[in-house]
Amino acid sequence: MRSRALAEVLARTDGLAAGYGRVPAIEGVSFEVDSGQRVALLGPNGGGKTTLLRALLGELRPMRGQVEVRGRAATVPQTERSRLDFPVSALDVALMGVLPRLPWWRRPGHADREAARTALERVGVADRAHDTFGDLSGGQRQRVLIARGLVQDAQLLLLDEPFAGLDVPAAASLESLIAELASEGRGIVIATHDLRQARRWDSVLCLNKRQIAFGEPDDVLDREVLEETYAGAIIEIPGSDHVGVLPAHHH
Amino acid sequence: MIDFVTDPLGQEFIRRALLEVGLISLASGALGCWVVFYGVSYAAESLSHALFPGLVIAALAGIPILAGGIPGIAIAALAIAMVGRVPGIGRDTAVAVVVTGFFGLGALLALSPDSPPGIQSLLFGDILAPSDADLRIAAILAAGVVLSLVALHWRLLAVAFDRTTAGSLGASPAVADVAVLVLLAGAVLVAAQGLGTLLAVAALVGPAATARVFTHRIGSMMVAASLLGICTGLIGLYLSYYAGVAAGAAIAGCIVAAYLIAIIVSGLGSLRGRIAMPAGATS
Repeated sequence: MRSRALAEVLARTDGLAAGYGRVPAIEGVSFEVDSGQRVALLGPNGGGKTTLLRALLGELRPMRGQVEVRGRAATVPQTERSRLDFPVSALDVALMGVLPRLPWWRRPGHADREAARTALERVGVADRAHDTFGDLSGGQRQRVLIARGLVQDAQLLLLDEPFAGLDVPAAASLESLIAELASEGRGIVIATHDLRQARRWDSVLCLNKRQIAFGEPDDVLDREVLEETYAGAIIEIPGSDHVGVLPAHHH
Repeated sequence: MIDFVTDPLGQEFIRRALLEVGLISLASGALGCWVVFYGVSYAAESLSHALFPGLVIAALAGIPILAGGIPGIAIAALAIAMVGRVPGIGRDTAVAVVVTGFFGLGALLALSPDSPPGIQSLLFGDILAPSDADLRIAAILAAGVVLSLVALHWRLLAVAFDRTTAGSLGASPAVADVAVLVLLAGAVLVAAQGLGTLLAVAALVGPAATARVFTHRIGSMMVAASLLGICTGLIGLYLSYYAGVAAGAAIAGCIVAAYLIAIIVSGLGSLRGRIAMPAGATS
């Protein structure tokens, strides 16, 4: 493996099973994220992608197996889940990233505001800092939530379908931001439906209620694995040797 | 004209009523914003009804009515929690059963022939006649609510913004929910003393809903809601003084009128914007 000895392991699971009731939503998940790596998380809706992200955040306890996360992890959720009519500015949302370090009665101070501003600048939305979060475009909202993760000082960023609903230019510029953040040594797990993106990243985890495969994209992404991951819901792309996934919404 | 404004202020009972209105507006206005965003308006209504027997018993015993309201609201909350655990009864039904049960009990006590006259004012409040002890307890409760909101602000914000990820930011949704309900109990107690158990919820929900129409940040919304509460309370008191109508009902009426004016003005504004836009595009 490429310079595995030098890269720092940021997160590792071993035989992980996790879920909400008594029956685990995911089983047998053994993978790892090194610093500087982008890991694609592929799987159908309901296949357990969000469950795995929650287990990595420590919100779900493993039913079996182990989860180890080094340093802080931050989540970048789909923004449709947050209230877009809620009266907060982009700066307010980024500033929420300081909460884990503050005792419950303390309010964010001047230095915290500066940190939030710097993070917004880093992800390229400093000019929208005082706009209402819900008024921003989908790509800008993702950037603000990534800024929140940077304010949390997270080494591991967990992105839950960040490209959903973005147009082509917005998706491309978000992808280059993700590449920059990885090059700074962060580990980034990205739930996605886009196989072409996944092929460009460092490793791929295929999940359909259990781990189907994990490894480098070229080793993992063959027809057999994809059929098992998406339970047959895949199509041939005419004129290429690639296959596409039906549940995804491509632009 | 000056006399029209200053005349009522010369009256001791109006000055005390203003103080009471200010305390209600501070606590209810600021908390009301969270009541709106946490969707607990029904809980506010339920709590204010269920604490009624506590107020009646205090009034019959001749102690400050808030001294009866505090255990009253605690017993009501406990009863709701216990009945909610009975299998086969939904939470909604449990709340309805407990609230009507408690409210009926309070009415039974208040309307019996042996009760002293004036006790019915607990239903609609008696903002013109708070005792010193009433004002003191109300001030302590209002200060407690406002200070807690200042301290908890960012955590309440994170949970209201996105419950699913608030936990990963160190803001527990369960703790935030309980905090909002406990503070709600405090604010309801303050409001019920002045406006009565039937009108208290107007002070909690009305100014916040009005402020929501024309503010874009939670902080300014809380300040605006408190100021709106004070203004509508002031107008209501003057209305009561000059027109001889019941003070609590006049204040509640002003709160509702302010909301109606706000949505009509904002509706006209967006209508004008829509008419102006195509005209600008063609020129």
